[in-house]
Amino acid sequence: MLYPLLWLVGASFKTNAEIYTEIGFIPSHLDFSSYIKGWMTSTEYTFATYFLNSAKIIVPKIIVTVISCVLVAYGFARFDFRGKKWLFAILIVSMMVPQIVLRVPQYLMFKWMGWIDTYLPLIIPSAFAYDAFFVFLLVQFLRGIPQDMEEAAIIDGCSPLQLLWHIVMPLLKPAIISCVVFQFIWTMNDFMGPLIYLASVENYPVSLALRMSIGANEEVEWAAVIAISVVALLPSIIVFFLAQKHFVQGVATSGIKG
Amino acid sequence: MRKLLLAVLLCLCTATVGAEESVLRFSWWGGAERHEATLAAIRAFEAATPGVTVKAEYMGWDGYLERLTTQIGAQSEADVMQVDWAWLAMFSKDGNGFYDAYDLKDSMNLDEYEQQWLDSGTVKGKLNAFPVSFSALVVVYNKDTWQKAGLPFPKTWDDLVAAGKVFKEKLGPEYYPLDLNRDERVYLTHAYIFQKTGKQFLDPEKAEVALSREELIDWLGYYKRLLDSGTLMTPQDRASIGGDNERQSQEFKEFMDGVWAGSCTFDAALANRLGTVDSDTFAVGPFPTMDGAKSSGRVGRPAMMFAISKNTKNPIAAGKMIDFLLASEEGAKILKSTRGAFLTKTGYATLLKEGLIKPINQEAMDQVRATQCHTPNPYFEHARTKNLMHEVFEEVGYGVTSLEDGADTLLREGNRIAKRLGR
Repeated sequence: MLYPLLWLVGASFKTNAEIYTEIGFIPSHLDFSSYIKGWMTSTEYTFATYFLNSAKIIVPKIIVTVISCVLVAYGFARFDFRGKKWLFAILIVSMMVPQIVLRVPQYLMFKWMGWIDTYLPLIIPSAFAYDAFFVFLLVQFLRGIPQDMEEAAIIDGCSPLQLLWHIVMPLLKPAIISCVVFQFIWTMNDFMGPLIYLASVENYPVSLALRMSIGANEEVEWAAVIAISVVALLPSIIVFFLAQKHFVQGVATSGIKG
Repeated sequence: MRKLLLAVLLCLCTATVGAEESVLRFSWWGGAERHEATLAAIRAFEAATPGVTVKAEYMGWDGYLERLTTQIGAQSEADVMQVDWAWLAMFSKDGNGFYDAYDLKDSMNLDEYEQQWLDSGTVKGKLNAFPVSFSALVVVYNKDTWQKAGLPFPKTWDDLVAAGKVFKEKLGPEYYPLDLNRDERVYLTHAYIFQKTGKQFLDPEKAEVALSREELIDWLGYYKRLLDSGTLMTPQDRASIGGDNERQSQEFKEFMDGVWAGSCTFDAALANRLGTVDSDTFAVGPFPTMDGAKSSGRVGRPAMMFAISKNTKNPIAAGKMIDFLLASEEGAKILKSTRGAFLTKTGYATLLKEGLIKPINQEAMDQVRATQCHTPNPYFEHARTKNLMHEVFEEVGYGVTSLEDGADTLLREGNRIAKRLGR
């Protein structure tokens, strides 16, 4: 399972001819020049700019995602209101709408708002619980948590928001961490979103910058591309391992009914 | 209050002063070398043209069309765009999709182009795009292996078929005179039927299949002959080596080692094709032909083009930039051959003078320019047409479909797709 990763690291030290022909991942020589070349890029900026850009999208996006999705999921899981079933059905349906059909109308809307070539179209939708999958995940998790503690807190005079903050959030931690990890990796890997909304090279995130030097007909220096892919993988891997314990727990328990 | 007013006025003044500096957006796709060269050329253009700054919006090939489509849909495309020739039919069916550069004939140097090149970017009498370089199919062979086989490079389609057997007998069963991926299989054999009938698969003018059923059977039949004679590896054998048949020759060890002794590609992609081998051991072969050929069989088109947005606020500056990049000595010296060989008189002459074209590319280009190349139907390279041809060729190659059934499918589906796309 780890072989492709090992191969990726090995290939970053190889020439194109070696990459195409050799199955083994141990390179014939250790030469870090492809890492330097990949980092410097063929653009006016180094990869530091692109990593920073990615962070500028990911950090606010994760914060607003967590806030909005927890609030919406809390509403769906703990309150009764008119049309709740319908709204929840619509939410689930929105998960099944292919992203591609939304591209052009969304682009036109954001253009009308003057947000093209900024990070806003990539972040703001998430502030309105746009990622239905996370809401769904949190709702399922909440349904699995017994309500005894919350009832006790209500008797003690807790308001709904206090209840959310003091009781529900701590219980919800594993599920929230799952959302954070998913959102981190998806946003890091998202290509279409930044591709369409960002026009300036100085605003490119890592996912776009990685493909910058892969043209249509010309020779590609794969070692440099692969080297920088290895570097670009690191944040995702680090985040995943840091959150691993909670992450697995979150995914594994969200479907169980208590 | 007066101070505030003054400040506002001052701001307005600086704003108007700033507005005189016009910004041109320029988008292109490419690889590392092209990016670096183009950025340098842009800087030189800015230095030569006071009052104009260029904002570069460049990327790799992946996703370029998707972004362009969205931008054009929302009228927020760059002022100057690198586009593919086949996209003109998508974005500008009536010639109004891009700026008509004939309006700029006073400020641009259109004499730099021969009429045929201008025509290649003209839709319904409107000059939509400037061709940057030209591209047509060429065949390249490994000189050493062919020498070992004791064969001259094939001149006719029959020579090519015959070479397969000789390679097997003299060199061994693993030797092949030619290696083609699935696109190239279609394109090269298309040249055969185009020479024989004088007609292309899709009519260049009308949205329909031009070849008759019998001619389609002949086309597939020639492909089958190449397979049966061992000139081409069967698709199942090639796929079994690894990857799918989209993989190109330069990615195979057999090609690098000279066991597969030839390949075929558009001359614009030659550097890539020979990227993993020593290009000095390769030569451009004669393009196969036949007695009584009704056409050169060669389909060629601009490799890429520059188009001006119809929404641009500064067409004159956009035109000047295109002139600088394609038709000036300074521009050509900086861009070198990162976009192929220029079609402009000055650009091409500069590349020649500076020796910026590789010998093998020069060889290919001389051959291409010496023959008459025909413009294909813009939908010939459309993904759906390609899929159809791949499928039929693959089925015939695997031996699961007869030539007749394959021809029927090409005729029926080809017409359907062409009508759909041409609408």
